[in-house]
Amino acid sequence: MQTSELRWLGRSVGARARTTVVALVIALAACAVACQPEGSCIRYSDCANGETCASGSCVRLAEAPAAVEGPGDAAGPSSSTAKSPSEAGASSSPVSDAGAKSDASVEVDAATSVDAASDA
Amino acid sequence: MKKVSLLVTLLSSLAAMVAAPESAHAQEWLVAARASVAGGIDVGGAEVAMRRARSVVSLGADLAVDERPKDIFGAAVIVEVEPKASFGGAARYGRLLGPSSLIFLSGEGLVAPHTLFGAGGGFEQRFAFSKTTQLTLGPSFNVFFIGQDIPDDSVFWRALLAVGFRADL
Repeated sequence: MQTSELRWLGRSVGARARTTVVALVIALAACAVACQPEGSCIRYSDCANGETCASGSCVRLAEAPAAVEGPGDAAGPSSSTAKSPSEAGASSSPVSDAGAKSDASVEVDAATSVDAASDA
Repeated sequence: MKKVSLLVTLLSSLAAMVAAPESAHAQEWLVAARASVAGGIDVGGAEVAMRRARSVVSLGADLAVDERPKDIFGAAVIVEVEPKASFGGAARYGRLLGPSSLIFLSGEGLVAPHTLFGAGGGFEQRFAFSKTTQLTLGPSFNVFFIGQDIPDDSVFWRALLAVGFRADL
């Protein structure tokens, strides 16, 4: 086998690749069972429509304006860096984005949340 | 007599140069098409969490020059297909370690419905089906650090295992 000629730190590259692949498969299998608790999120779009990702959890938009905007950030949704609730809400799945009615309710919630944050 | 001899030598040299076959050849592009499906885990976020990564389908092409066949440049369209969909692209530079092993550095970006950009690298092992087609298998690691889809102060890591098909064109 030609890959056995390739060595790095005393081990063949083929062996290292096999080890990595096996480790990744085990981690993936374990993760499929255990590492996706209900309501957890990493990306805004991990959350359902009408929710946003704050501190690793999906929360209703109206409940977490401060967590989404960040402390002292009252720049509003036009800021290029701030994630407005409406922006975060719109990052829900394309399937849920298809619902115009639910989007409208998100926009209303978002406006309310941004106003509240600005007042604060 | 010497002059005649010199003239004959010069003429014969000139004739030989004109008649000689073209030794230089044009640069050739080596093109390959590839497709893969990948799954894995995401780690990161504001509160470090681990999630199963979205499944990623990738369709792309590799390009190399015959003078430097070990340096391979590639581009691909990537689509996250489940549980939620998004669309983007990736570019990569790969270096062949041997006839069937490749390491690569890549940049990746999702642009729709929301932006997310990252960079990473990986390894690819090729198993030949035929002279021009191969099964590909290998891990890749990316860090996503900017975009509309993640909070400003947050990054996350993605480890994927990809299975694919590659064909030299």
